[in-house]
Amino acid sequence: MSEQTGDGGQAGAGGGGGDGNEAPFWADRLVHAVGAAHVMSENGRALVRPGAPAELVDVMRIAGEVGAAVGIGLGAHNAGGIDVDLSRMCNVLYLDETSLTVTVQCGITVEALEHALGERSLTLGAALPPWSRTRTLGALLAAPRASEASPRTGRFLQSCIGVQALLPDGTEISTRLAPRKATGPDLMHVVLGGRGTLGILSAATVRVQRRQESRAAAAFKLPTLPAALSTARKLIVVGGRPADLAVSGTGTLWLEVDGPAALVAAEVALAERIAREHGGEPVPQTPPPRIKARPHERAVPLETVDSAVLASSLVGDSVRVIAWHPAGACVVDSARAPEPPPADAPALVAALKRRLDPNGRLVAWPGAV
Amino acid sequence: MPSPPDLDTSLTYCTYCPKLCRHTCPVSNAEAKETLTPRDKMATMRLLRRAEVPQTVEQSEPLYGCTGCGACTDFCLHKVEPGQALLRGRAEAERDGRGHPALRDLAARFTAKSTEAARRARAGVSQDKRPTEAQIAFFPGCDAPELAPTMLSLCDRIGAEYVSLADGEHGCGGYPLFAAGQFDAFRLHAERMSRQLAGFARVVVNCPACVWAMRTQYREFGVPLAPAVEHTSEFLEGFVERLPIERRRAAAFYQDPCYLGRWLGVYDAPRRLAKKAVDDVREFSRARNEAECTGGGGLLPTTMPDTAHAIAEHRLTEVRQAKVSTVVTSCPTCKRQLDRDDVHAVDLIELLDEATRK
Amino acid sequence: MMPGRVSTTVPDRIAYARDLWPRGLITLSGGNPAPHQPDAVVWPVSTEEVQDIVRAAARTATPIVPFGAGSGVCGGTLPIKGGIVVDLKRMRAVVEVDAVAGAATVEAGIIGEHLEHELNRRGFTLGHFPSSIMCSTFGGWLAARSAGQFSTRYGKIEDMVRRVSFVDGRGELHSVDASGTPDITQWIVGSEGTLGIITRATVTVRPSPERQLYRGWSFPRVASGCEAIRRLLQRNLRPACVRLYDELDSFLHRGEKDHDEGVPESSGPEAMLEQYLSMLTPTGKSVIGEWKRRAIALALNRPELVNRVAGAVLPYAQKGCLLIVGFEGDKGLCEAEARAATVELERAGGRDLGEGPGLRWLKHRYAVSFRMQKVFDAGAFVDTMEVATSWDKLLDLYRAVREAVSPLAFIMAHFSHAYVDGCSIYFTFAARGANTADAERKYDAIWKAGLTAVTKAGATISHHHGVGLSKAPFMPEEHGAAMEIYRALKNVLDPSGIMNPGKMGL
Ligand SMILES: Cc1cc2nc3c(=O)[nH]c(=O)nc-3n(C[C@H](O)[C@H](O)[C@H](O)COP(=O)(O)OP(=O)(O)OC[C@H]3O[C@@H](n4cnc5c(N)ncnc54)[C@H](O)[C@@H]3O)c2cc1C
Ligand code: SF4
Ligand code: SF4
Repeated sequence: MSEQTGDGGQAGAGGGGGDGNEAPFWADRLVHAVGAAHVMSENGRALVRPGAPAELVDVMRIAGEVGAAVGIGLGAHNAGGIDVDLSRMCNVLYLDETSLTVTVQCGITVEALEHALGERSLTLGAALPPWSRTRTLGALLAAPRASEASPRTGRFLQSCIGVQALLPDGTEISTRLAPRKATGPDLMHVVLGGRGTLGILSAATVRVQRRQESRAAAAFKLPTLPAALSTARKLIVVGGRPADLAVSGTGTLWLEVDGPAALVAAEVALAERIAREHGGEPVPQTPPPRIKARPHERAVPLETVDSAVLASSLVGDSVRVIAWHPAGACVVDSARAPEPPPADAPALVAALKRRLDPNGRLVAWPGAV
Repeated sequence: MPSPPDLDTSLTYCTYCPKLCRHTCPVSNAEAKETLTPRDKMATMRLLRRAEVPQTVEQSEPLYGCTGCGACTDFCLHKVEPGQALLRGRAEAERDGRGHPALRDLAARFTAKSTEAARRARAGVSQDKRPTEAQIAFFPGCDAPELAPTMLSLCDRIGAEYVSLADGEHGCGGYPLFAAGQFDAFRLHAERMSRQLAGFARVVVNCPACVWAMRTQYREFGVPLAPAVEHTSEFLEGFVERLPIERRRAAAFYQDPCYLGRWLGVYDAPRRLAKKAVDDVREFSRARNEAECTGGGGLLPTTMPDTAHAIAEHRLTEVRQAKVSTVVTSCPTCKRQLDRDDVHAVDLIELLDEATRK
Repeated sequence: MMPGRVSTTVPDRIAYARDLWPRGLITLSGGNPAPHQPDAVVWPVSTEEVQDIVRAAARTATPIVPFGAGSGVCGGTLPIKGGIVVDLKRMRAVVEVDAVAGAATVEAGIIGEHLEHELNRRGFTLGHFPSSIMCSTFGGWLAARSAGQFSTRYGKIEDMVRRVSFVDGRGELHSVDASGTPDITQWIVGSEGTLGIITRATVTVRPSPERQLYRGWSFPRVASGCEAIRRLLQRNLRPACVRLYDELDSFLHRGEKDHDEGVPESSGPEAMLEQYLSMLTPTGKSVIGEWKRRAIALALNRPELVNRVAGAVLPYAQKGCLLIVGFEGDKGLCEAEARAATVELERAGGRDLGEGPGLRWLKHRYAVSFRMQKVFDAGAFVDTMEVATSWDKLLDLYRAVREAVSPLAFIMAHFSHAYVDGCSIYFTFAARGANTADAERKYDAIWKAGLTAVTKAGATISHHHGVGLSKAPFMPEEHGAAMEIYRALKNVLDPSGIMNPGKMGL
């Protein structure tokens, strides 16, 4: 992104405390704000770990005053600026079991959040891939990956119904919580997916799911890969809502469904009917072998899933289509390395960035969190 | 059908209505103009009557953007009839000298066309088929007088050789004058027609708008009409099982004429007849009481010719998508509106004539 | 430019000076038909023409008001600063229906009913049925975040969006994808013409339902009905529609059941009150003559009395609250869901009223829109306030709004548009002013009281009608400091501030 090297660099240069191993001259102020134990500074830059929103506000204010760029997320490697690590801001603020939402600070990892939710028989949703478990909620929301989606609820960030965030100038915003609104643009979507360049997420309210009365998994072997892809797509288009749905490069389709027993049976029956229409047969092998390491992944619109899969490096069991939802799917290829984060933000995002952050205060979220 | 509210109530309902019937209006659909939605046309009329807007020709023009198709009424739960009310608005505009410019010499043109139609109808019919008194006489209307001989020969073939031509000075029932809001001229013409048709017991009229005007409006205007009036399709339906069919067309759409369908409630007779002569009678996705107008009514082809054409083009979309080249209708105006190089519009009379010829 | 598709005539300027904001209808009934007229109206047929218009307007700093069908109920299309109204209804093509991906690409100006009809012909449905489907446009839905009667299954319009194309306030064309990061479609959807003109969008469509199952249920109280809906949603069931009427709304609804054709006779506040008062008489017979007239006048002038009595009496006099639940879609799924729902609703204390009420609702679900005319004709006014919040705050919100509005207007409500995490409440209120000015004053006071209560309860001031002019003063409270983001978006996309100026509290 151009601001990162251009404006961001400029801000960093303005605030940089010189070269060598010296701590930047403003490190003391950070220590004052968050405590010595939570500031590491060297090479003219600093890593801070605020423990509360107020401390984050202080850090942002200091950064603004000294002209230091702020990078959010561990390992931001923000030369001459401040890296903010939110891992201490990991508290569950409010669990609303009536509405099935949780308001939680964004430094919490998926793993920790799932653990906390699990105690109440709740979960973020079955379809989050294993390689996302060590990410923070903030990362999921600010730098989402294509695989973080489920057939029933769509992209994970669609589970978010409200955020608390800091804008580049330090303004604290808190969006109004409601299941849906018609009060203008959904402003939260400026910060969601903004990779930390348009605002820092400090807390978010996301939907959670309750463990359902009954649950079933099924698998079907389709004669060809395209037949398996068509089966999955058709299931989504006619309104099937499995909790999870995957297709392997060799043409096996897996799904998991949950809900009232009658519905679970009907969902499986529907999948079977569509699979049979495509020449498929139920097979006992469930659930799918998990891909453990983070694979290469790519979001594709539903209509082009076939060509995306067939264009993959090799069509074998290393290729999967997971995270099906009405707007698209995610093709993962465990034989290939994870893709680097996108280099450029869309022109509109860049333009908005210039307006909200004229001094390039916030730098992009690093991909590898 | 429940009767419509009185005029004042109708105008008020429309004025405060969220344009609930607008999606049915062929005119506002073609023009995509708020000014021409049933709601706004009615609201304009109300504003004019309350003198809340300037009493000008321009301000009165929306009153003329209506084919009288009745689609709005069909949807309206209050059963308001903009297609009728607006004609009263036109009458008021005429009265105040702010009528539509394109209709200024309508009366003269009407007389010329009506007498010319009578002449043309007569021209193709032998003297013995033109008695001044008869049980049943055919009246083709001013848009397709040439159908007179066709109809009479069809009648011969189906065993209705007793049908004659309703001959006389005039060949039009007067709907155009009514639609123009030239009510005095309409009444005069109705009186003329009442005299011209006095010798017949039944008149079979091919133009649905005139069937409707003669059946309902003559009486409204205090003009008695001796013969019973029926539409061609209603008359021919009595012969549907006796049609000596020789050949059939493969496929055709059937277009419901608005006056025949929504205003007179005749949907099945023309279909039953058409099915005898066509293997595959296709229905438009909007048919019967939801049928779309072809743009020919309410003098729209005179006041807004481009709009009238656009309405017809829209109606033809489905026919073209289905790659069918025939539309059967039972209204000379619809036929004129829909006939194209690639799509042939045929009147039910022509269709049955062709099908029964040896 | 655009021969025949630019107008400055008086009739056109008058016709485009209104939308369906009830306050405008009050003004109209006072004899002032068109206080805010545009200087011109244009009907572009292509994206390029839209761009040309916007560029020309930007050069001359002329306001532009995008116009769908003017069915908005918040004054959103009123050209309060004059300028050009851009009517999009000539851009109405169904560009593509992709059966494989279940998606349709459609131009903004198509009338909703026409779009649904075209999709039906191809075996699909958008599943979006706002009560205004016959008088609103696809673009207007997107611009105002519209919700249909079946939103619980198909989602609100913003949930269906996959791609949006729009022309910004500089005349530049953008095409943004819902799978983008960030999801820019959500910046544009809901912007009510303040950021640009939506020219087309791609949305999810579904196969036309194989099966529809609608039933009525009765619950003793609003609270138990809400609880039942919550359970349905949280058990992974997705009814097409859930609609719970509060005691008064249920009562009035019940009165309609015998009218299978035409407008239910219980129309307008007078008729509503008449029915209601008849219930309070010992015989249950309709109250008559002078007494009735006086009682109704009293009720409209002293709404708090009626509301209070309604609150006290109805729960006992009536057989509870009516809940309509409908499922549709694939036959197998639909039947299974309906079975599971029956178990769930019975467990929650509901009484099954059978298919009758459900089918009646399905058949007459647009009839209520025809009531408005009679109300305004009678010199009164009626409006709706659609708000939403999470389940835990829902009943508090319901009580707070009722309490705030009760002294000023006759008020009732139903709960519809349910989600896993919350629900919307649709309040209907009616009142009368001594004259136009008094009615306007009352009208404003009702909204102020109602929305203040809403924000205080932590809910949103609009679930699907949008903001426009009427709720603009409440935007700072709704968004707080986040308004800064909206202003930044405005500045980026519409630097000369020509797009629908004066709206949305910007
Ligand atoms: C009887 C009735 C029932 C209703 N029922 C419902 C309901 O069930 N659900 C619901 O959600 N709403 C309902 N509404 C409200 C209204 O229909 C919706 O707000 C609808 O989305 C407006 O669409 P429209 O095309 O009429 O837009 P308009 O009223 O023309 O415009 C609304 C706003 O959007 C802007 N706009 C319009 N088109 C565009 C475009 N292409 N690009 C950018 N901006 C644009 C306008 O400038 C304006 O600010 C109802 C209204 C009425 C009168
Ligand atoms: S005819 Fe009926 S539906 Fe149409 S505008 Fe008038 S009142 Fe509304
Ligand atoms: S009668 Fe037909 S043309 Fe006239 S207003 Fe009604 S729908 Fe439009």
